[in-house]
Amino acid sequence: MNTTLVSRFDVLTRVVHWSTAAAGAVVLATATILYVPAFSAKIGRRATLMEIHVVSGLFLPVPLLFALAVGQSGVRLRGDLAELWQWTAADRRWLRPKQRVTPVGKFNGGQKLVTALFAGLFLMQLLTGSVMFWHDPFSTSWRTGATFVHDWAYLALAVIVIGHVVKATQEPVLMRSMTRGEVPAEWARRERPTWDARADVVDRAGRSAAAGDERSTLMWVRVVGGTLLCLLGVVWILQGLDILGGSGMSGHAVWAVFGAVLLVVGAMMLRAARTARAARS
Amino acid sequence: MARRIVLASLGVGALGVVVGARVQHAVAKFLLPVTLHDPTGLTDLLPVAGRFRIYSVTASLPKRSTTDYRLRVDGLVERPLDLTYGDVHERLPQVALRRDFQCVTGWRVEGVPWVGVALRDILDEAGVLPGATRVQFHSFDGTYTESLDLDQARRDDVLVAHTLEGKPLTREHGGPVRLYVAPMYGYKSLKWLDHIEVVDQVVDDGGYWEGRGYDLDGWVGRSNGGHEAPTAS
Repeated sequence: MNTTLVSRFDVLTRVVHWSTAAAGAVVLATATILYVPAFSAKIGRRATLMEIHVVSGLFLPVPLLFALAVGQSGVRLRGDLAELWQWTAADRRWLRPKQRVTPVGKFNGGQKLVTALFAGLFLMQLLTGSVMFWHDPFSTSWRTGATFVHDWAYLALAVIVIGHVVKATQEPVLMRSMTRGEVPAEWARRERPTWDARADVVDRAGRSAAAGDERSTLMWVRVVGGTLLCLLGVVWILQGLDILGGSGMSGHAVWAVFGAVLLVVGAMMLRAARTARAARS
Repeated sequence: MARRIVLASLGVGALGVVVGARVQHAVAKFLLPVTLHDPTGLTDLLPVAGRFRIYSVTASLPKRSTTDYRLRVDGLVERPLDLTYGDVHERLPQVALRRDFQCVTGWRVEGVPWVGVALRDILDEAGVLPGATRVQFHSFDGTYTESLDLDQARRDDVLVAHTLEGKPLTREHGGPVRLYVAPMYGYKSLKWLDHIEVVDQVVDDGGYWEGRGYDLDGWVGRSNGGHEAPTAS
């Protein structure tokens, strides 16, 4: 039988997904070893694991930020993010299984909910993990509080990630859309009736250019994100080269390399923001 | 909705940082009788249980039986010693302590009972020579080192410990014999204590974690950026 395929995710989106997933797997695996006493005892090597955990954790948002920085080629991914961010009445109804008949767009309510939880829990881990790793400015009580939150959020994230993987393996079509990028047109009509697959590919660039709101949010993300990445990059380079001391990273050359990567990504984001502003004015 | 979830996560995270220590204190007190008597050890995994994490810096946990155990004391001393487990466990005066165990990154176990020998008594038996300034500790894992200056080493609350929570120290917790420096962060309490060396300078950064950026004087609350009172009993 000949099936027509439509594109659901472009190459950039899939690269971002799988590189984030790889970093996430490393973060969760090292977290589990560091957290569960039986594994800690068996595997040891605390200082090395801690460094891998922190580096891969800080790397998690980099693919996505990179995609936000690369201008025109990131337009479909940015459209997906905007759609995931928008919560509709249909999404609310989707979460109640009895009413799950309403037309669903490119993403259903569950997928939107999980995305938001991933984002929220990631920020929570970034916040508390920073207090734990760069502990010097914080009181012992705050460090204890940060560890407490970091541990609970780890358990929550482990459950969500396992759920995400189980769901994906249960639905081969969805899995295929993230590996090969395509879904059968017939499936899209049946399961995602309000998703306009053709417009997703062809018109999104035009629509995105017309949507001023989305563009100003994007510019804001680029300016703030780019500045933060540049600052962090410079600090890491100085620490990696042991010019800036007082941290567990000082004198470890690997941090200088990561710092350089962040600096490049940050600079690209700032450049993209400037180009976008120039194009608008 | 998405926005609310993200903002709520940030709010809960920030709130947790500020009040988490108190919440953990309350719940851990309630849970302690359960976790101490849980044969499966599964309740140890709850983040509220306030139990020990197992830290080791080498690839595998070092192992030494109590019969094979020897504690070498040498360096700038009059009489180098080779103490047996029996010396540490029975012959020397025994000291019991109950203190919080606080990690520099934040996890804490409250009111932990320890039994051991005051490090001071061991140093006195060996006889510290004039000119000595510090004590360097070596672990039989072959990697972990720590050190204290002589004033710190002579404190009442610095033990060469062999018993934790009423049981002989297990391998996971640094047994058969470890150091316990009550007023300092956990990294100062060297596990798998093998060798005590009296020296006259800071050797190898003063210790394994010190070489990775932690303070040489690891007072709880007064080092590594902290500024509160040290852990009390």
